[in-house]
Amino acid sequence: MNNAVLVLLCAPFLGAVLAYVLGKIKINLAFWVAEIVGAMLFLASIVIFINYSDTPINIDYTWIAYGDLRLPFGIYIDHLSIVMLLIATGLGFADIHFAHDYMGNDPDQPRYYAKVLFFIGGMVLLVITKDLIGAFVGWEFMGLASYALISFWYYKNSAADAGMQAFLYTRFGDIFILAAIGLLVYYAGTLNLVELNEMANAGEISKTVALVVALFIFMGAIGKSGQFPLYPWLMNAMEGPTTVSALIHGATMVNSGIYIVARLFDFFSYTDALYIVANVAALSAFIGASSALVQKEIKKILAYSTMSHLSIAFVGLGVGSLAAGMLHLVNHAIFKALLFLSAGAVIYIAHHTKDAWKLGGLIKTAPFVALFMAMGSLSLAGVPPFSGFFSKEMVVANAWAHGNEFTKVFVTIAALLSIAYITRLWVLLFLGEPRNEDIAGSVHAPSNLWMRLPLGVLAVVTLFISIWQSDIVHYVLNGKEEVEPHIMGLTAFMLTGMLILFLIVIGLYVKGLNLLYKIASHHFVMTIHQILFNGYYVERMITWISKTIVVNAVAKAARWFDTNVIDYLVNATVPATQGIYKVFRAGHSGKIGTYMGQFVIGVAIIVIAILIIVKGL
Amino acid sequence: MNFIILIAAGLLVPVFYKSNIFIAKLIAVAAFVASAVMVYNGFGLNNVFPYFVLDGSTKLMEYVLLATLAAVTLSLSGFERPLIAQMLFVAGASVAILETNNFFIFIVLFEVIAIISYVLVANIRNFYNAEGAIKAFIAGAVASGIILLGFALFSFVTESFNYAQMNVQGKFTLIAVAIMLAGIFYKLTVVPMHAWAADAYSQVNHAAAAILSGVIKSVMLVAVFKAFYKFLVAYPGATVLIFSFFAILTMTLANFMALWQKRISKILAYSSIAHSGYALIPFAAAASVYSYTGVLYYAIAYIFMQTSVFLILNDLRREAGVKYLEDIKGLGEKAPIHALFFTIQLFSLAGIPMLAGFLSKAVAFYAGIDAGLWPIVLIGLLNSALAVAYYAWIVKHIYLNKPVEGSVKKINISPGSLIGQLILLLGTVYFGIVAVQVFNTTISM
Repeated sequence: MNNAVLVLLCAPFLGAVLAYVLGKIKINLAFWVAEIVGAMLFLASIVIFINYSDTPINIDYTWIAYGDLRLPFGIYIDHLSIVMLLIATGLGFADIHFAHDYMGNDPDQPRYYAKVLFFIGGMVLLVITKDLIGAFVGWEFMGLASYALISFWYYKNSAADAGMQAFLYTRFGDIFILAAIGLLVYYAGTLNLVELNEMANAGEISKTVALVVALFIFMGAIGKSGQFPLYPWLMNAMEGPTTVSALIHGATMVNSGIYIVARLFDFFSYTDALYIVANVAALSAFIGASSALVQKEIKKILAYSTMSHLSIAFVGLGVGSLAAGMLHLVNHAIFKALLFLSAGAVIYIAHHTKDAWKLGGLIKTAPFVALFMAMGSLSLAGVPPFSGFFSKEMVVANAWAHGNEFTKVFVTIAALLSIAYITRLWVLLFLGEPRNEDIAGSVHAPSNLWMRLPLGVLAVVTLFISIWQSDIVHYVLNGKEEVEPHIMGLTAFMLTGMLILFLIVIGLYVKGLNLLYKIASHHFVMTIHQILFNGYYVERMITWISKTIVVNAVAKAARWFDTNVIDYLVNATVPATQGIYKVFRAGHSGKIGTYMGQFVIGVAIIVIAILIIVKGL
Repeated sequence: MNFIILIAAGLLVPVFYKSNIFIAKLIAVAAFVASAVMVYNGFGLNNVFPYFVLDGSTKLMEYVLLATLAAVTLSLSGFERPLIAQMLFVAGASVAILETNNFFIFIVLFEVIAIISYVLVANIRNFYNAEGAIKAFIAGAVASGIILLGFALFSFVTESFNYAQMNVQGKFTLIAVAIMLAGIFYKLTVVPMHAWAADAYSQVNHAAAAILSGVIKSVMLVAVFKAFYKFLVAYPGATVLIFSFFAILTMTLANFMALWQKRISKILAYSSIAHSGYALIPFAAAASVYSYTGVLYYAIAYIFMQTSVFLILNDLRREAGVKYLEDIKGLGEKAPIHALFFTIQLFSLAGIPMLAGFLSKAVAFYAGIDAGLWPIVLIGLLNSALAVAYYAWIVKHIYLNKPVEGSVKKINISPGSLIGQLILLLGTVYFGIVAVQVFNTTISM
């Protein structure tokens, strides 16, 4: 068991170095190293899952203990961690496998696989660590890997900018986590995640401090999980390779915000911070779902849907149901990985065409991809018996049972809208006639082993995991009791609403494209379309604020101070140090006689000092 | 046992010098590994003689020492072969001086190491080497005399040479210790007894300089601290006064001298002197319980980085005649692997976090703070900031400047050098992240 933990901790980082070095020798080796390490990690997670007895794995280790300074670095693996581990390593493995073809022609493969393994290492570190320090390190490792992978094709300006943007946006949130760590060290005296929950349960920490800390941690989660208002980076992150989007910006890293809130769930409940979590998340869910309706690029639709679904999971947590939030996280991770990888397959066979409006009728060339993507879509839409149905129902029911009006309404709309945008995407890609002759002519079928296999496995999992929904809930809750609310008519209402939306989308996009164009050309509709298409202009607003206030006011003042005061002082050190050097240099003639003279001076100093002390004795 | 293995290997190795240098290296490395295994199992000199103790911190220092010497052995070239046997003798004397708890044996081994170091620098190839060797020898001889004078005085007044039972009271003891310290400061290159080192380190063969300035100095730091610990604690006033004064003088002067040098080896030599200054801070803070941790951590971090930079310079000088800052312009393109190792180790020397140089400084300075010597720590911090200037200056030449026209196109790294540098890099990174080993071993002191 401890060996499996050691593998999880070390293998990704060693593998990253190995993949890079061996890949430089022979390019194929990079993939195989990554594939083997990925399989090893997944196996290690399964070993832990199977051998887990009722007590959490608890390894205490002190990183630095010096005087009053104590930086612990412990491992703590309980049910929650195991669920996250299985997701991170399982989907990571599937993703690496899929990349064999998708990244097959890229000359920079060693770099790619090294970064992916480094990323998985960061994610694993985050979910098995016991202390906020380790969690923060894992958190930042992922941020770094995400930056490096988004700007993987760094020679494209848009990719480089997107990477930078992702880094800045998430860093903005991370600063708050660092502040929370500082506050906790000062006020709580511990960074142990388990102890923090216990302290909150026992009421040993002041409510105000706890609220501030919880909100600061939530700010970090907002950045990482793409919630309002720090979500624009997630959309631009689609500049990276699709396999990266699938792994990092669909299935795993974006979950880390939810994970940290779930891990500190008792701490959050204690402070009423969950109330804010629920409201911010409901707003984000609505923004994401409505913006996804009008996007053109395949991956942007999925990105907005990711944002919306993460928010739904957050709402689950926010209204006080750990089970609903975590269940939706698990289900979402699997079907979103499936959707992103299907999108990757589509993009791959269509020679890197990302605009859904240029494709169409692909069901003839890639029927299996169409089938698998349909299964993912149905799950995302929340159609029974797919897994998405159960978790989404649970979140919405919990919101209606415990949430305020705002949360209820927005999360329900968001949950309903998901069927609309995902049906639209699927119809645009697979039905109808090819809209662009050039692309349609050169489309080829994907390979069985490398593309269809992982898609098929994920599709099967997303269907059959429905059987174990209540088991997952019990597993995550781990003995705690949660009353599942049943609200009469809610399921019926949801299903009816979904059916209506489904029929509208099918009607418009399959039969009534002319009607659609007519509606879309209306002035009012066009305005709304613009707002939604640009993600409610939040990105522009953030840019404006940072430009006018940060750059033009603060940065310019700082620059004036830097050039006129700091630089002047720095420049003044040059003649000063040179002067001192010239004085000192006089003693270094190179003549050994001089040196002996200095030696005597040194002896003299010591003897005189001692004599003074001796006299005083 | 470790001592016997090392000495036996040292006697055996020269047999293979003429026939096969590879076998000689192999034997040396095997001897280092074997004695490390012996140390691990607790078979030190303590099993054979009564005057030796092998505790946790000694074990750790010996692993570090043996690993470093193995790394040096691997990176040597053919014409530096005499160094192999000499290093085995250095190792033998070093493990003995680290393990001993007897002041008499300490003094004897101190002189032994001094003599080995004269032999080390005697691998003379040109005028510069000769000048460096002669300076090291003359200054060393004078210092040896001084130490013996002090020791003679000390042996009159003390009843026991055991570290724990030594006589520390009385005026004669104090004067004897002061005179011995003067000689030892020479070995540790403390200003104003440092000038020989600036010339010797930069002018002798760089591989010898690596052993001299990296390995021997680190061992001396730990051994001297253990030998003199009782005196340092007994006279806190004198300790703080003398060591603080010399610490400040050493680091300040050396850093200013390094700042304006053009020859790389000279910069590294002055950097080595400056590091002696930082290492004196935990000596001054002997009253603190963290002082031994500070010294040990400093020695461990320093042995890796200082040895590594001189070995890289040795490679570069041999392959491309690198001497001055001008010569390493564009090294990042010409010798990417050398450049990378060099940069990381220089950053460690400068004290960049996540590398051993940072944690060692942090720990050493913490001891100073704990003993209430914050003014000296503050000066130490300012000095480390100043020192970044010349380390970064080298890195700037390596990566940001274009290579000079007509210079050597490509410098390859030999497999031996690569492995050696990897060992040293591993040490620098490991002790920059995982601190707990060093802390655990020094709790007893």
